[in-house]
Order: sequence, then structure tokens, then C-alpha cells
Amino acid sequence: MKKTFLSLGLVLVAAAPLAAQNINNSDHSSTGTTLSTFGGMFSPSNGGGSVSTATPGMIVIGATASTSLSSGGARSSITNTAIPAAAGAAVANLLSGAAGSVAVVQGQLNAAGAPTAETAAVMAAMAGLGANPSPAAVRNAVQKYNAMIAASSAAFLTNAPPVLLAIHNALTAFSAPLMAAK
Amino acid sequence: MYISCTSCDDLSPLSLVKSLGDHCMGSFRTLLAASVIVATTVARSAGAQQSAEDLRAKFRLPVPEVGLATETGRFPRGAPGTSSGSPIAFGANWNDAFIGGGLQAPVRYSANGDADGSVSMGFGLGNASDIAGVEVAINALSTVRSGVGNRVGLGFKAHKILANNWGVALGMQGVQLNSNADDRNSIYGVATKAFSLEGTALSQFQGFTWSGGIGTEAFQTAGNLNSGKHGVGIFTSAALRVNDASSVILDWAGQDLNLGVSFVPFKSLPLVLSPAIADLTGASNANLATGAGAKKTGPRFTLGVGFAFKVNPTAPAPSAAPSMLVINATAVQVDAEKVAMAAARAEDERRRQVADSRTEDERKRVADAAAAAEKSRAIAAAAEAERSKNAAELDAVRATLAKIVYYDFDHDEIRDDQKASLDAKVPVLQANPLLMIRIAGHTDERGSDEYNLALSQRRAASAKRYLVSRGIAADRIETVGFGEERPVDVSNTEDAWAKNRRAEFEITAGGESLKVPPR
Repeated sequence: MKKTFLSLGLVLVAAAPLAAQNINNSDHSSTGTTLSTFGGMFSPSNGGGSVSTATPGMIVIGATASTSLSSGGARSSITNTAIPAAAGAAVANLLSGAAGSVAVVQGQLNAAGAPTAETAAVMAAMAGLGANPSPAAVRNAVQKYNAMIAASSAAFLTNAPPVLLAIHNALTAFSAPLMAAK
Repeated sequence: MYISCTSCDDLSPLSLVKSLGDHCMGSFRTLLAASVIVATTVARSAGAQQSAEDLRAKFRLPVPEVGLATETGRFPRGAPGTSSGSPIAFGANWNDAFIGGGLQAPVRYSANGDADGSVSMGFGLGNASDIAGVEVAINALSTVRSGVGNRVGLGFKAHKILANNWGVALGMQGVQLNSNADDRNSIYGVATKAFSLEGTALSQFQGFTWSGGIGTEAFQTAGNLNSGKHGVGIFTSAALRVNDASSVILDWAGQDLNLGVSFVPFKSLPLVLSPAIADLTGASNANLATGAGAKKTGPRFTLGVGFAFKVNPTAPAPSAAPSMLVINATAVQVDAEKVAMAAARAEDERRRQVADSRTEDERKRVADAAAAAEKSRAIAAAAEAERSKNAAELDAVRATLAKIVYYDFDHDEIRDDQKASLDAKVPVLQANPLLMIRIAGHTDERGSDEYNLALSQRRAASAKRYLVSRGIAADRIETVGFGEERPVDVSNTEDAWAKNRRAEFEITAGGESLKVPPR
């Protein structure tokens, strides 16, 4: 790498004194070079780089998690019990952004005693997450979920409704590749 | 006597008594059975009773960090561009390669309205998030008017990613392979920052990227260029990432003010299209000597097409394949089974010891152990009761802090009937000086988005003012407005609207060491 820098430096120093002639940018089509067209491909994080997009792998994970939840075959890693298919399907619908899915899941959580404001924030963060599980969106959903847990009573968590377990499973699945990347 | 329960699925106290009854002979059966019941009950109650904090810890998830871009496969999903003509500080790294082309119609200063094009290709070396990356490109300009290969130059860019999504780069374009390319020997330095819009009024967008830099030759003003001078100029660009697939870009590239969009038409193909209107203001005509084939031109259409790919598609990447999830799930299940088996083995061992206690001394020791176990249980129960009491008090404190304040329609003043909620938070905040909170204002769905956003911010601010007026330091309270975007009740009724006109309170720091305020 040091050699690369040295070489680059030599090129720059050697080239700099040369007077440019006939430069008027009439040849330059502005968007055709690597300077701009590819810019977004190599940007980090939230500003427009590929990391803020949902990777194909994460979309597959979302689909797998949704299918597992809907089938009733998922087990909660908290209680080690099976998550009922109905609860799993409700959360899978939420992840897909299906119409009315927020009201269904939110209703079940609130009925079980979940804190209303924090639950609404979780719903907003998770609605449609499966269709676009970008790292930033997953992180946001996990943060909102944790805020809901922090505001939850012991009674609610002791008798956690199945949809809460399904949400925990889904977010665990979405977080896994991001945690592995750390 | 040894009672084997390895084949026994039912470990309930009743079944154990029955088991003992079947196997034990003698007058100590009742005592032994009682001791088993006590011990089993102790074990179960210890497992069943958990504090609120323990429960929260079980449910809490680790927050993933959003790191740098790395994707699997030869063709990672594309991302729209962030500039329209000027350099940015992010670039290709090792294993990245790209090819693309550009079109402008008409060509700048063309007397007869000719179009022209360019072709570029290149690759990356190093790693910008490690020591540095170096992007190397070969650019063939004026491919239509002059022919491919007649105006060719190399481009180099050394780029480095810094903390907080900053990047810096030093580069040169137009390093001549043959003569006449008109961007030659242009050196530049540029800084770029990618901003998250999370938690801002623009949170519906995915991000914002700004770049700014200084460069020689091709980056100097048109006035200088057309006068044959060799100075330096500045360039800057801003891009709003609208969604996964598109961005809007405004770019001052040195001579031209460009307005463009960039989009990724296919989800599974890293193809990027970036059309733009270049030179919106006609600034490039400054000092232009017209005639002899040159004339002033107005806004021009430009189009960039790019395709990036991984040279080695099997390079390590962080994305977990679905099979990894299966493995993880299996691992969790196996761990749970191991724990259950270990517990069963310990229980068997304890039962064996009980059953083997045949002598008087041993029986006495068993009786003493049962008494000690009972005493321990009582102590544990008292401790648990105390912990539960503390946990309940902390839950009450959290509930006090989190209690929502409601507002009248189209008002941000604190209602008289809501002041008690805010007053109750004051002693909690005073007793916990490290506690930081965030107040989030919300509105109902009536009114425009913009109006409601401002109203929600005013509601959060009024709640903050109220707390500050009661002696809470302003810098401990953050405010944010979400407008009508986060309703608690989506129904279209007065009741629902009343619930949605609110301010919510969230602990942002110091919650882990929460104290109950003195009474």
C-alpha cells in the first residue's frame, strides 16, 4: 500500500506542472466517468451507499423468517415454546406491509398490556420491513423494540403474547447478519 | 436405595411422591417425600419468579451497528449516484470493478448541436476503511466526434473513509495516455459526508450526501477556462437519497450547475442510470470567444450509465445465508437441551443421595437439610419479595416518566388536567440527575403534513418548557416532532384523534441506574 501511495504521489507531482491546453470541458460528458455515476455504489452507510439498501441476502432472510412464522414451525428463543401460526402470520403480514396488519398486531400487544406509545413506534418501524430490510431500518426497528421492552411491565413480559415472541424472533433473524458483520 | 428417573418424563412433585412410594419401604418415606417436595418447589419457584429487569434482559435485543457496505455475489445491488459531474470522496476498493459510459447532447459550445459520448472502466485497490483505497480508471472521451481511443486519459483517486461517514480523497484525472483529452492534468481534493436523516423531519428519505472540494484545470471556472488561464476552482454536490433505488442531485461541477437524478432500475443488477440537465444557468459561456465552430450553449442533457461488479464473487461478506440462521436456531435449541439434561442429571443425583440415606445419622442430616432448605427458601422468598417491591417501584417510576401528555385540538399549550403528569416527572428527574429524556410530539391526522409537523414540534417544546420552568436543566431534555406520522389509534374518530394529540417521554440515557425519588 505504501508503494501504491508513493507511486501515486510521484505521478501527481510529475504531472502537476504541466500546463493544460485547450481545456474547455467540451469533451467531458459529466456523468460518464467514475467520478459520479458510480459514486453511490461505493458510499458508506446512510448517505446513499449500498449498505443502506436491503441486500438480497437479507431479503431472503426476511422471507424465510416470515414463512417460518406463518407455518407455526417457529420456536421462541425466549420461552423455547412454539409460536402459534396465527400470531406468526400476523407478524409476517406486518413485515410484508399488508393492509390492516398494524392494527391486528398492535391490538394484540395493547390488549396484553404493552405500552401504547412505544408499541406504536415499533409498529411503524416494522411495517413493511420484510420488503426492505435495510440495515438502517433493521437497526431502527430493534431500537424501537428495545424501547418498548424497557417501558413494559413485568406482568406484560411474564405473560408475553405470542405476537411479541414472533416479533422478537423476526428481529433476531434480521439482526443476525448485521451482528455477524460487526 | 436408588431411584432411577432417567426414563421418567414427569418430574412433578406428585409423580415423585408416587415414585418414592413405589420404591421406598420403611417409616421415612413421608419425610423423604416431603423433602423432595420442598426442594422441587424451591427450584421451581426460583425459576418462575423473575424480576422485571431480568425479564427485560431476556427480551432485549442487541442493537446492530450499521457498518460499511459489503455484499455477496458478483453483482451486489446497485445504489444511485450522489453527484452529477463533480468528484466525491468515496470510491472503488479491492475487488470492485466498473464499466460505464456517458452521453451529452448537445456538446458544450457545439456550433451544430453535435452529441458526444465517453466510455470509462476501472477497478479499486486497497480498502478505504482500512488504510486507504485507490481507484484507477481509464476514460475515453469524445468517442463520437473524435473516435474511441483518440482522447484517452487515466484517473486516479486515493480515498479514505473516516469516522461518522466522512470520506476524503485526493485524485487526478486526465493523466494522458494520448493527447487532446480536455480534462487532462486536473488535480483535486474532496471531502464527502453521508448524513443519516433518521429522527429528522426528512426521515422519510434514506439519507443525504454532501461533497465539496477544490481542483485545478477542469475544475476552475469557465471564465478562467475560456481565457486560457490555469487556476483552481471549487465544486460541490448534494444528493438526497429518496429511496433504495433513486436519488436527486444538485451539483456545481466547477463551470456547470447540474440538476439530475440517479436511479437503479433493477433490484438484482448493479446498473445505475444518471440523467441530468447540465449548465442550468449558462455559466459555462463566460468569456467564450464565439465563432470558428464555437457558440454559446444553453442547458444540455447528459446521461451516465454505470455497471459495477465484484471481481471475486466469493470474497468474504457479512450477510448471513438462511442456512446460517438454521444453524443458529439449532445451536440455541441444542443449548437448551443441554441445560435441561444437566438439570435432570443433577436432580437424579440429588434423589439418589436422598434415597441412599439409610442410617440414622444420614436421616438426621436429610432432615436438617430439609429444614435448612426451608429456611433458605424463606430467606429467598423474603429477598425476592423485596426485589419485587423494588422492581415494582421502579416500574412505577418508569411509568410516571413515560406517562403521556395530551393536548387540545390545534393547541400546544399544556392543559390544566395534564399538568399533574408533568409535575409528577419533576421529582423523578431531580432524583436522577444523570437521566436524559426525549419528548416526542404528535398530532392527529387533520391538517397538512407540514402544519402538523410544526405543531408536534411545538407540543414537544411546550412540555419541555414546562419541565424547565420547574427547575429541570434544558440540556437534559431533547425534543422531536413526528407530526401525524405515528398515531396510537388509526381510527377516524374524535376519541382516536384525542389519543393521538400527545407528547411521549422516552429515557435516552441514565435509565439503567434509575432511582426511586424520596417521598
